Amino acid sequence: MVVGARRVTRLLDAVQLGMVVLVLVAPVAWMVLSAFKPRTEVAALPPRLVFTPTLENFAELFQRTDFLENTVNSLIVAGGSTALGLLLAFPAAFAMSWHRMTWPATATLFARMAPGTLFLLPWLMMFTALGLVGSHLALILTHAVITLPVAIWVLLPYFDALPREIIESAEIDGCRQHQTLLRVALPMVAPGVVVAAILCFVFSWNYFLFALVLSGFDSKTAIVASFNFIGEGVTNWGALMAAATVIALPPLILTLIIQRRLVGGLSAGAVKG
Amino acid sequence: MRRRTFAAAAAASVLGLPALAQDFNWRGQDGRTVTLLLNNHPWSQAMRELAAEFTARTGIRTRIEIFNEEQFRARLTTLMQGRSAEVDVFMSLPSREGAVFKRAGWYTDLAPLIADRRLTAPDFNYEDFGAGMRQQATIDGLVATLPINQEGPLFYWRRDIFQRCNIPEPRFLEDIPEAAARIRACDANQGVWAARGLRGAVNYGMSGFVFNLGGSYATADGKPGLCNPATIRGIEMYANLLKDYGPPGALNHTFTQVIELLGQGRIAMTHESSNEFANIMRFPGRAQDLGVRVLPPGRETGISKPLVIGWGLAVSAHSRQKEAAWLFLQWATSTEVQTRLVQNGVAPPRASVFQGPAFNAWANEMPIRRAWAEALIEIGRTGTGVYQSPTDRVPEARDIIGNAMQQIVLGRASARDAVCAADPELARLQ
Repeated sequence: MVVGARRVTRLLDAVQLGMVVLVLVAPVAWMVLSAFKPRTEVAALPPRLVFTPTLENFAELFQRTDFLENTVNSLIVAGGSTALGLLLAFPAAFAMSWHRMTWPATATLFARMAPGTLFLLPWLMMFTALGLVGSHLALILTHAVITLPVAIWVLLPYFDALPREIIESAEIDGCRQHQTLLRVALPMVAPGVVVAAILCFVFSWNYFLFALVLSGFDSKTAIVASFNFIGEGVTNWGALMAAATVIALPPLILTLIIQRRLVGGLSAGAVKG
Repeated sequence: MRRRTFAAAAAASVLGLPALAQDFNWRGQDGRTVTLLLNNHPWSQAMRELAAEFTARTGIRTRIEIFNEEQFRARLTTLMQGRSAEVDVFMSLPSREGAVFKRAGWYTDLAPLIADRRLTAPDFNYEDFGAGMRQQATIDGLVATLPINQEGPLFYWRRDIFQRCNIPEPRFLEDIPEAAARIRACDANQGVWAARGLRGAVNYGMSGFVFNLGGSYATADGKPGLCNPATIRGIEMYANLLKDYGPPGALNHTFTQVIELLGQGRIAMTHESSNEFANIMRFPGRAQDLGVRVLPPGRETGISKPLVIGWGLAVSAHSRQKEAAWLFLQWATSTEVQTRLVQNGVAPPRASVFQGPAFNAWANEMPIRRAWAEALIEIGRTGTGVYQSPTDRVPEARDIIGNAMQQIVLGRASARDAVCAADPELARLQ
């Protein structure tokens, strides 16, 4: 009886797992397969699983458009805003944790929750006055609105979990504040920093709205450029899927490389005491 | 020195001395760079390839930004609201947004530029653009854009399926639902009909049904008014075709989905944009088995009132290099460039191109091209660019009318209730 119940439970688990895999993996598989299909077969129904793969979509992507430059722009913006977010969030999260102040963290969260359109016009006017519209710097600064709250909230539990005695000992041993932060706290919350960096990078990499308006000809990001393939009389699903595949790659590779640390990091601050 | 120069210029102008008169010069803005913000459209894609020739002729470099229509509008309106000089030239659909953009002061009036012999090429010939297109591009006396194409929804049908099922080509609008029923009976596996169901996009495909059955979106005294039998009949016919013969999820469909379905041979009929012609022809077999024509007239009314609209090119009011931008507009809408754009499926708004030998030679290569060209000539002659109730808030009005159609498809209201409920909402937009 018990064995039968176990089997049913296992079967249900497998069905549940299968459904989750189907929902999560099917769109990604469809995207990748479509990127290698001839243009006329991309939207065929029923989808053709057996086909002659072609690189024509990627060739069009990189030869006929500026997608390579757009991808480099995305790397600059996502990398820059991640670095800026972490640079500001690391001491901020430490101070909030040490002084047990939660309101600044809440304030940054509100900024993150506000609709992006709220910022657009003021920023546009501000950056126009500064002559920064269309520059990478404008995008890095604006994307920090996304990365900063993420980094603060990811780092807070790590700092909360740090024994206060260790920090106090470092100060007694003569460490100045920045030395305590860099030499003592940083190595101990490194997994958190890695997690925060990945999340910041992914959020910035995929963020569309600010780049749509504030980027220029030379700073257009890949996610914005990918929309060029949809249009009146000219929708190119093959190139769009190739672009989507390329866009998905950097965060995927990054996550795979540091997957073990990511999982460890996500659970590290979960239990205190 | 300056005083002496001024005196010489003044004397020359009084005497009309030709030596000091400045002639038009394509290289007058040599060394400048103009930024173009364009909607993703066959015209824009072709322009990406051709722009180098403009640079060669004028010395003006171009920076072309192309976005999907929704993103294009988001970027354009934000930049314009911020009075940004980032964009010098932008695409605009005057029939949709002309009144609002004009009120916002985003267009440069092109009339003074057209009239200026110093700035305008002698062979430019503004009158060569069709009268209807010029009228659409002129808003309260302000020439907002130069037309770059003409387009409108056309009726596409699969001739092979009609032949196989022994169904005659629809001669009247009322024949379309009948043909749909016969195709369903003849081949249950064949998709029958697809058309725009997305709220804001519905009017483009649906208005021909309304107009041809004698309906309109306004009362005799110019107030919003859908609640009349002919309009209700037109909206109901469109809704029923989608409900009874449309694909799953039709209410989320716009031209992208419809054209994929048609191109892949999964539907037998649609009413879609003439712009999509070149795209459809890329699908195997469609050049041979498809027919295209203007939506048939109403049987009882005999009315055929199709839509015709055209994108235009505008010079931003905030541009700091309007003369260079104006040179681009002239070159891009010239007879020479429009003749070449025909190869990309862009229907030219210049009469000299449409009736010219190059266009005719291209159209005569295939029967379906000839049919497409004739349909375009017809909509150019009989079409209207107004396909919503009277208001400046055009997109909102189209949303409301599209919503009424959706309510019928969803079965939430009878045709009469859904359509009549839209009138008070439309009145609020006036």
